[in-house]
Amino acid sequence: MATLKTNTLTGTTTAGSIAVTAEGGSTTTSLQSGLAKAVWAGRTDGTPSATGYDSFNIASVTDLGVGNPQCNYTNAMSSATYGGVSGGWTYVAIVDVYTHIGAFTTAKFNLYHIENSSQRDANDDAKPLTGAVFGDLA
Amino acid sequence: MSTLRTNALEGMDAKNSITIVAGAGNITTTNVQEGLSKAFVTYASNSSNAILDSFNIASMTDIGTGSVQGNLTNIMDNTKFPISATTESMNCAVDYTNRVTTSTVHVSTYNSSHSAADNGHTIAVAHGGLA
Repeated sequence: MATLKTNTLTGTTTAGSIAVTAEGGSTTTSLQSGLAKAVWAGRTDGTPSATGYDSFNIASVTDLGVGNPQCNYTNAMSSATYGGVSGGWTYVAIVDVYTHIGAFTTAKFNLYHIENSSQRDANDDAKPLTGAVFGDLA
Repeated sequence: MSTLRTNALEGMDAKNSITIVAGAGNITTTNVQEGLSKAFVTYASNSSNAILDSFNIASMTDIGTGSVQGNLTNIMDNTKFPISATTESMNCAVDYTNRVTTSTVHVSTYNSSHSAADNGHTIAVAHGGLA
């Protein structure tokens, strides 16, 4: 098996574009486009941490209110027309927990944590709120 | 166009870290390993938890109505790794308290009456670090 050892990958024709042959063996996909550009998992009660939980490309977190953290990027996105996915956690006695991700700008995304139809903080270290975004960096 | 053929990629200085130019301006870099999802699964809890597509998922375990546990092939390096989940026409959440460990994820789906219910296409994606 051949293993390429390198610290950096750069496209030769376009620096930000490297094609990879995908699972089917013929179709190619973009390595850069397939990568999440930012990921965050944390709590939402005014003491969010960008480093205490899993995070990637998140410089800081702003508490916008109950169940509503704003995740600020280290490296900005190229436009506001990208997307993301989110996750929340069920509690022992609470059902119907869900989350939204939105309010995308080049500098941040917002998360919304809802329990039983009301926006609530996810304030337990063991039950982080999660967001991940996909698109182009600036 | 030049084509590099290899079976594996590895960081030179740190095996688990490769930087890649990924910005629209062809300048900004990001990290390959951190940007990759480490597991995903699309399954149907209303069809015997059938796995429709998956990556790094060894099997699915039925926990109860609307509740399914995914068992990872390669485990994660901590128990707080980010998991995102969504499902068609219902709400869903990840049960960290009861089912998420370094080797499992647990997704629950709920109907409009806020009750646990089996559903069709449900998708969960995990990011973070592998062990």
